[in-house]
Amino acid sequence: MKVIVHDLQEKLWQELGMRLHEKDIVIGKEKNIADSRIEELMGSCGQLIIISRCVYGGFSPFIQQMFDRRRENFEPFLEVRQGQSQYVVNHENKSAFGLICCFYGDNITSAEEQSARIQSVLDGVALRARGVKVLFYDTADKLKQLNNVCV
Amino acid sequence: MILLLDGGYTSACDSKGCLESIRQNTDEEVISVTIKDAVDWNSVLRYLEDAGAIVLAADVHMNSVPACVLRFLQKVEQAVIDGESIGGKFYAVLYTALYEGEQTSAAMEILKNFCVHANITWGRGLGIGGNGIKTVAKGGLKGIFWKNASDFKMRSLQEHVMFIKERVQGEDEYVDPKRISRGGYVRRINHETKKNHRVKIAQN
Repeated sequence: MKVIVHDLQEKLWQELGMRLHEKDIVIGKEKNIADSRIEELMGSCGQLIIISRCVYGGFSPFIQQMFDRRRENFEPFLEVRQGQSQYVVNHENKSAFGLICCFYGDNITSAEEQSARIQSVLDGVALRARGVKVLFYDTADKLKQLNNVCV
Repeated sequence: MILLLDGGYTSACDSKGCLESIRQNTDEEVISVTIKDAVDWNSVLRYLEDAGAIVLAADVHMNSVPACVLRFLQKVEQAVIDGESIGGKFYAVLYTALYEGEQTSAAMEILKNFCVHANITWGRGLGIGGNGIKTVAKGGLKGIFWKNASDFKMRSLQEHVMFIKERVQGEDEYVDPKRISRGGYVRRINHETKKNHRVKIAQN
């Protein structure tokens, strides 16, 4: 099962024609979720796919808001992992799901690409993903290629 | 004039402390604007135009600044595209409740990329780790210990304000609460977080 979080307009998302399985979950601007569910969903998925416009070499405000909401009500606990302090991840799917960060946008500079790569890897470490894949597309239309990447 | 943009989202951001430090160490007028979804945009644009230095104080979560700050920066960029000119240098003070100040470096890069887009000169960045400490400061001997332990950021902030005051560029700096061990910090924060959760559950 995969969870896809995207910031695309619904029409554009439909046009991508992503191949979805019955249990796959899609979270978009029109179909939002409860504050704490992102963590719950991560606990059960094999792939977490984030499709975001590249904004200054990071996620778009919509995607970032998803992450912000996780700590709005309850400050998470800390733990030391590989010599660094990290927030405790509550889901049971630790080191079992793959994170795919897919950035789109025209004129993504090399500095922004570098920042986005670093942020994606660090987020993967923070969320305790098994691995991280980072992809860039200069047009939203090319996002259709994601069908070849997602299982 | 110095413009302080308060992008604090949680208690890990100490924008008040940042404002205090700027006020204590400069004679200049300091205007503080809280970044939220509804801001008086006309005044903000006027301040941005007049400011010699723009200071953003925000907390970092998942290696980025909060979504409301990103939206604000996008609006600033759009204003520049529409003809607004911002001559002031951009300084950042990023806070994290994690122990290592270095963990704000990815968010710092995002801010630098914004400056390139908006044609604003980057001044200097300061990343402060261990900023959960202030939430656990209390009276008694323990309180004194934690107060002393949180003094590390005052020195760095004062130095940062010197760069802001003189409008000079500098290398980014990342600081940790060195007087407490990483493990000790994590244990203490978790103890306090547990207590806060209990209070919140009881209140709800």
